[in-house]
Amino acid sequence: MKQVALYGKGGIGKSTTSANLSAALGESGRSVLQVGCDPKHDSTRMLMHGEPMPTVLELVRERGAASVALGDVVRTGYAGVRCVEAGGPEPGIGCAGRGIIATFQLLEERGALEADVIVYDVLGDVVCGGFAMPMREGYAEEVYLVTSGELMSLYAANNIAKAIARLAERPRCRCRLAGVILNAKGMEREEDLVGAFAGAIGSRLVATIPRDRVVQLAELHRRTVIEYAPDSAQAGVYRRLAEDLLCNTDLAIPRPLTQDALESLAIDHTPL
Amino acid sequence: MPSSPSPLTTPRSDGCTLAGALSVAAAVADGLTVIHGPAGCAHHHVSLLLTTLLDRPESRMPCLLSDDLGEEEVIFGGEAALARALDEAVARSPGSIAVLSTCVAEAIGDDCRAVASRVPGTIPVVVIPVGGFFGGGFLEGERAALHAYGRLASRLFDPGRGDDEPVVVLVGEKNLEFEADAHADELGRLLGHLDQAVGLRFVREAPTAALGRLPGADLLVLREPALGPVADRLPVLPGTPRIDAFPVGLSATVGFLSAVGAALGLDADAACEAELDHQETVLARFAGLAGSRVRLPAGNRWLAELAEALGLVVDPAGVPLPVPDPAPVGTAGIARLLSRWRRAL
Repeated sequence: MKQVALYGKGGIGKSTTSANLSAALGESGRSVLQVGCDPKHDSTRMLMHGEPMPTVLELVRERGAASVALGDVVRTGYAGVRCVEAGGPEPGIGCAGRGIIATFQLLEERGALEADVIVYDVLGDVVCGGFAMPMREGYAEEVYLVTSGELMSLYAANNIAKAIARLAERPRCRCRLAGVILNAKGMEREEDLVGAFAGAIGSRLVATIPRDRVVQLAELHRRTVIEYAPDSAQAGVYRRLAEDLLCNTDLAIPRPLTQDALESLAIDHTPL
Repeated sequence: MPSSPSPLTTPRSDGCTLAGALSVAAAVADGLTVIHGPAGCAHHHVSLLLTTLLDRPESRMPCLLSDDLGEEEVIFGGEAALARALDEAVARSPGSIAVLSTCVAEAIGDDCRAVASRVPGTIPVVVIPVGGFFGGGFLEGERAALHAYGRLASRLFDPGRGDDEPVVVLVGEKNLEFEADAHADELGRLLGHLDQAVGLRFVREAPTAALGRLPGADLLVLREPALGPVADRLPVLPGTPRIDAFPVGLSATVGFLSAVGAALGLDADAACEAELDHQETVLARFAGLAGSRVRLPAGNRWLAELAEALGLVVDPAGVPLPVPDPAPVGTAGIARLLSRWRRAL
């Protein structure tokens, strides 16, 4: 079983990438579970064709944890991908991080975390210990940083690298950085910059996902690109990423950059 | 916690802000305290208060209500649970309701003040800005509570009511102290020499309505000098006289009467004479201690004065004598201390 987690700045395209990755893996015959770990609970929307998903925490709140069965929270979407949304509190209240911990405890108790590949789509940044929990407790063994060439996106990716490096010091922690995924914004020399960033933190650029209008169109039709435009070049990119991910054994403990080093790197790779 | 007779008394400042604030809020005679947090936080403090009150069977058990936060409230926010607890509190018709927060509620950012502001009706709700270990320890919590009740006092003040007699207010009694009431009784006895009385204990066993007497205070008597910053912010008239501490020691007790007289414009000479006579009577009961070789903590003026008055011989090789912390208040406190010394010798 492979357990991968996609982390990155909010709005960078983690959910789109996760859903297409899961769809490609599902199409290839693997059993796949995608767990959305964001209170917005929109990670699996494309896989579920926009069908509203009951979230784990919503049901726990309504019925109590003891009354929530696996079938209540796991729904099957495109290509047989099983989908779960953790959910969480309304913005500005409560503790979403604790919600992630409670969700994983429930899924673990119900035996839900079984598949050839589990894809965890985690909130934009590791804002507190709760969002580091999938890494800390050994769920997310292989972390992929999703980033663009924008400085703030790289900054968030570097912060997540810091969390992985810190957690990797713990004797029983199996969490490692598996690579960097560029979800391109179309900036000049963007791939050079992100590739250099990946190398600088002791990892590598595993995929470049170009900016393509078909992604927007697929989302408007509540489909993954894999389903909406299966013959498109973009679908091919996601499929290659899925195959690379299955073969990837190049796992590392990252060496996060200082703020100055990160900014210097960005300046060196940005046309003036 | 009770004042331990051991010199190894646990520092009071080690508790959390909730404990400090609760020591004040629970002392409002007709008050109800809502603890916004897990039931365990309330349980812990109920146990503490119960232990404190065991030796005082006449004392009432403070009215505490927990809103019993669980994991669900931690994840989704605990404000709804607090609102429900406040509804229940209102239904019990207390004189006032205090709201105290805990570590976990503070960590998730619940807004107690906003929830409390929506409580309908005429029962005053006092939100004391504490949050478990956030914001300091016991003393910070205690002072935050005194500030909060000070604000309530200004809302309750009726300027038209007027008091015939000067209002002497005791500020910041250590409510978990075993001898707290004995200390207040002693101050009442001393004030009696001047035909005065304790008008308000702020805050100990005072009903909510009585707190409204604070802004009309003619004299504030602070439990200890460290309460100065608290007194600075109390809603009293500018220039209201203040005595910075309860009196400790023979001469300080007589000096207290002089200070009260000066503050209230009274001639205190006769009162001081009466107290000196009383002290002589007390010391005479312990005349048998004279000549005993004793060891006392060095550098303590009131102890040195007492040793001299009793004719004790202070000697590093002498019998060690217990000295309670906090120190005994007034002549009555010294009499209790001397009884213990007599047993030790």
